[in-house]
Amino acid sequence: MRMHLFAALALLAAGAAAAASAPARIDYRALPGGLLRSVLPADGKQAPALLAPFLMRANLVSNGEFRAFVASHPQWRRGQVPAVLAGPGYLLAWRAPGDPGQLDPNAPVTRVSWHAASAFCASEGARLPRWHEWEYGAAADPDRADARDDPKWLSAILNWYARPASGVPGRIGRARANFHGLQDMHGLVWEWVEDYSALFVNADSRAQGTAKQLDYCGGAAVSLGDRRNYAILMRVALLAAMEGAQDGAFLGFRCARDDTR
Amino acid sequence: MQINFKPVLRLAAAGLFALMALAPSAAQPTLPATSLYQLSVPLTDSLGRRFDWRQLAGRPALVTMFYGDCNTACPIIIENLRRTVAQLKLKPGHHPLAVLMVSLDPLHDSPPALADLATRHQLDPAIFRLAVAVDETHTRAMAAALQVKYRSMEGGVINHTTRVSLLDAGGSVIASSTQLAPDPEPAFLAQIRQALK
Repeated sequence: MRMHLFAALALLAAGAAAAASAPARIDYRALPGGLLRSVLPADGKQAPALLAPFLMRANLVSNGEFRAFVASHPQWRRGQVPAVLAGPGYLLAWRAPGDPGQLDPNAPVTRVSWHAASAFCASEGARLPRWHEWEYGAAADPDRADARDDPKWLSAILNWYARPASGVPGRIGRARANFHGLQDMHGLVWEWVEDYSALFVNADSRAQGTAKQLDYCGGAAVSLGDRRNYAILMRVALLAAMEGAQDGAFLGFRCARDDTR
Repeated sequence: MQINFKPVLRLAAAGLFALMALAPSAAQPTLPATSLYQLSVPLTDSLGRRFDWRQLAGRPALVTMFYGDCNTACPIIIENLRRTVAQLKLKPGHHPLAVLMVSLDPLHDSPPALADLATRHQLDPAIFRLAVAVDETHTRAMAAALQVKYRSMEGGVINHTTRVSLLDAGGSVIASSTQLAPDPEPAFLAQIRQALK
């Protein structure tokens, strides 16, 4: 399973090469929320999810930013963090526990566990985005808040997923920002979400015998809606297979906050 | 899927000892790298007492997650844990084991609601502790450590996997049970007995 997972990760390509690169900065964008037609319907069948307004980091967290984080939070250095919070792959590509070495400081940090990503976000007064928030932010193209009914756009984002990866993810901020001002929602890395452990799905309702239903208090796992958006379904499948201490060579994160204004 | 954690454990343990050497006044006693208590989870129990689940360290514990307004699997889990403790035939006044049940629903499961649940199911307050974390993030973190998956649905229903974990006195997982039945699994019961020796 793990092998397949990382084979899939390896398929991820660096984002479309655009002209200049912008360094990552802590820039949160306000997203209005509202109703979202999700691949994971709110009632498990077809109801849209309702999102409160929220703020999301425009950019992924970079190697440079994570380096500063482990410098000020040494308990999150490789070698000091206990195995239950970060597995053997944690920051494996770094030259030293506090030093990403030759990794581009402006590339997204990867090989971070959910717990580590969560702790980073807490350090800037934030949390990881929830799945529906991430999906909402990722539904936009540069011109539209929801581009998901455009087969051309769906196919374009799928192309990124199909391009073979070359070792490490590319730089943050090369692709155009989307409608909300978010960059690299597609085409660079997979991303942790706070409720990754909510993404258990059952694609085939016939699999739900009595015993199966009893595995889940309050009913069975939800079914997937809107199966056209294959790029998004791949993300659900990947996150559903993860555990909180695991990491991936192409798995990064950004942070989010409640919009309390 | 087998991952060899041992070298890393050694490394992490070495790091931990190094840290202890630098900070001898650290509040936490030495915990192994595999201890779930490495993760701090501030909780409030059914009597309104605030504590960290780390304070369970020192004796074995059964830990699970559930939610109060659940009418399907959760009463079975509670009954299973009640019968598990009954079958251990602990001496009166003797509490070598803690049972911690943490809510998946921090928005709705208040301490009084949990107290009501404990009374209804006649849970021995000396052994059973029902508690809730401050927010969603801490609840998710604890669920991640315990490998519990859950998802809130419309109408207050929470889909979740059932898993009771047996932790040793240091907080490392010895065994777990995902069986959903009122009677405890004999093998799991045997592992608890072993841990109490």
